[in-house]
Amino acid sequence: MNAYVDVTALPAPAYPPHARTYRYDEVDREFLQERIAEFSGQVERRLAGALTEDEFKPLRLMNGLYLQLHAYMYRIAIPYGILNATQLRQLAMIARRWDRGFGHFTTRQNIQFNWTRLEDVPDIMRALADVDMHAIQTSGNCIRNTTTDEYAGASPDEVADPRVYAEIIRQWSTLHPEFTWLPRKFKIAITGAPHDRVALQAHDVGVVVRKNAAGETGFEVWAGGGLGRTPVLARKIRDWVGEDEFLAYLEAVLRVYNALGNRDNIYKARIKILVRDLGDEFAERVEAEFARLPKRKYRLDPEIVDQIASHFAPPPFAALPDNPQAYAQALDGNAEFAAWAKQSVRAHKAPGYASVTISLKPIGGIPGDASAEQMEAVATLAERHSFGEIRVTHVQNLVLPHVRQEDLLAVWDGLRAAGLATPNIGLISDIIACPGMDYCALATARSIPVAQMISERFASLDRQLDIGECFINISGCINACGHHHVGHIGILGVDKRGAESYQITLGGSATNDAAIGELVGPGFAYDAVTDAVETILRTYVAHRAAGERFVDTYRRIGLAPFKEALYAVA
Amino acid sequence: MSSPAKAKPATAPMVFTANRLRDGRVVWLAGAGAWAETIAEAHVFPPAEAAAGQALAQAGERAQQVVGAYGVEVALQAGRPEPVKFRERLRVQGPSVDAEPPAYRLAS
Repeated sequence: MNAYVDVTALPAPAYPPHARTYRYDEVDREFLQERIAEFSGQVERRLAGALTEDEFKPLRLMNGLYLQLHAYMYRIAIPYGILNATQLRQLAMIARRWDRGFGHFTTRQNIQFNWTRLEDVPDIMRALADVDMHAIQTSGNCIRNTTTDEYAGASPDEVADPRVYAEIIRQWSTLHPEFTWLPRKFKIAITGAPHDRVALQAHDVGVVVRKNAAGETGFEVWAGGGLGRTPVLARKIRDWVGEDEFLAYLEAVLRVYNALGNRDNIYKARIKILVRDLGDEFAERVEAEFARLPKRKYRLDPEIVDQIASHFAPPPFAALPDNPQAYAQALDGNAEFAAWAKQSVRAHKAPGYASVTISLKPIGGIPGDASAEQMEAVATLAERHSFGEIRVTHVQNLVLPHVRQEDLLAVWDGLRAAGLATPNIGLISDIIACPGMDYCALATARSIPVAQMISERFASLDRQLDIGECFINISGCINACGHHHVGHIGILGVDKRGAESYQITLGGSATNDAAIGELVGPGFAYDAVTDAVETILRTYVAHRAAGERFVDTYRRIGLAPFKEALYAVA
Repeated sequence: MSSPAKAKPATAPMVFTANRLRDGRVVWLAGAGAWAETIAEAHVFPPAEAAAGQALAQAGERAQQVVGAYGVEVALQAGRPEPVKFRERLRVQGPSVDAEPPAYRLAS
């Protein structure tokens, strides 16, 4: 292992010229080097036998290092899912040099490497620090990575840019001394658009950035959401918090949870249980704490907000017409490109631009996996066509946020060459799946091969388009990392007397019409799950009215027809 | 690892597994306290000797060779130990899905 690196000798990271990401200052970089030196020493002492596993485990977890079924797993933070091309290239390098040449993008917009060696971790930390990245607070009972809209700064429906406040949350929550040992982990989501693309109500705290009639920025705050063995949707606890009091209010929420959250029973320790049990009293207690806090100390200075906002200023968009002739001609002349564009290309706030969602769900592939070569291909496309910016979505896909419409054909060509042009965004094969028992030590059943079987069964694009929008979410255990409760079709793998069994829920949703899915009946064996999904979808097609999505039909006709189709005795 | 006093009495032959400290790879307790990379090399402890196997595995943890040691019930197939539970069979075989980069080639 290398010796401690003097931060003053480090070159500043080479950002692509226009990439809008967070910016580390010297304080951040110095802290990171101190943490690397500290954890390197802890690894050395662990390897030398001076630290036991009981002593080392909380230290490695606070640095993102898990021990899984086959090996250590290293979870790297991608703050609110935003990367620049340099950072993505570095992740590709890490995948190639210290792992098996690929990484797995997660529902928390992070990336995991599944085959990390303990002795390599200090070197990986140094490689991450070279591009202002780390793995701190990707585990442990602390405030985790904030989820944000993958189309932030690009979406036409955006009221305010959530990245600014996600970055403020990142700075506030990183190593917050009071919230490093919470009763359980804590996840925040923030959106600046009325359309919820962040699974707001499935989070411990959900924040909606709003503007009032005077044009002032404020926040609507929700609390108490979470999935796992007790799924609960968050409830609104405040309609409006002014920008200057944003951190004070979050501080009050965390304080109430920290003081009253259950530390005796891990299954009742999340804030959702506290909010559920206290009901309206939770918000009242937050208000009382908020009133007590010294507001000057927690005041969010507009100058600080402006400074951070300057890091997320719009890139230098050219003045372009919408729907340029070249794009229109390409759509007309190339059916395959047109099919991809229909699913993957999204309207942009700047005329002549579009956002491109890159599917990490090839038919029969592993949801969320990308090889080093694919990461490099995306980095190159980002540099050429998206101001060097990449986003990671909580649905385990990637986004090029700012692409000229006239460049979309070239982007598609580049993605196709890298095996990344599957036209299935929002369709039945765009499946969320946790790593499941193939990797995870906690899992009770496999997730990935179930996703692969379903993806292969519905490989036909015509069939996928006929089915329309339908989200399948798969978890390999009750911890619900695959968010199965909020999938239109949720699949939960459990152990049933030594065999994998899969429970199916219907009607869940992770967006504005958030809902917890309803259990359809007894579970299905591994080999029978795909047929069960087929039966569910055939039932939907048989009952749907014109224009109805799967979830619309389900809500209209209820569980009974699906139950009957699945369990009717021949 | 559970203490012997808390562990349920073994009713089937046992092998012991752990992750190697240095690189996290799955290893199996072989004879004389050594750790091997394949279950075929694992020492099979009859139920009556499971506590002795557990003590050896714990010694491996104390010696900082391995981490997370635990016992695995096995059945003997042609003299070779095969885990009874599916999870442990996956641990033996590795992921049931492709654990290498996605199969594609960049266009030249």
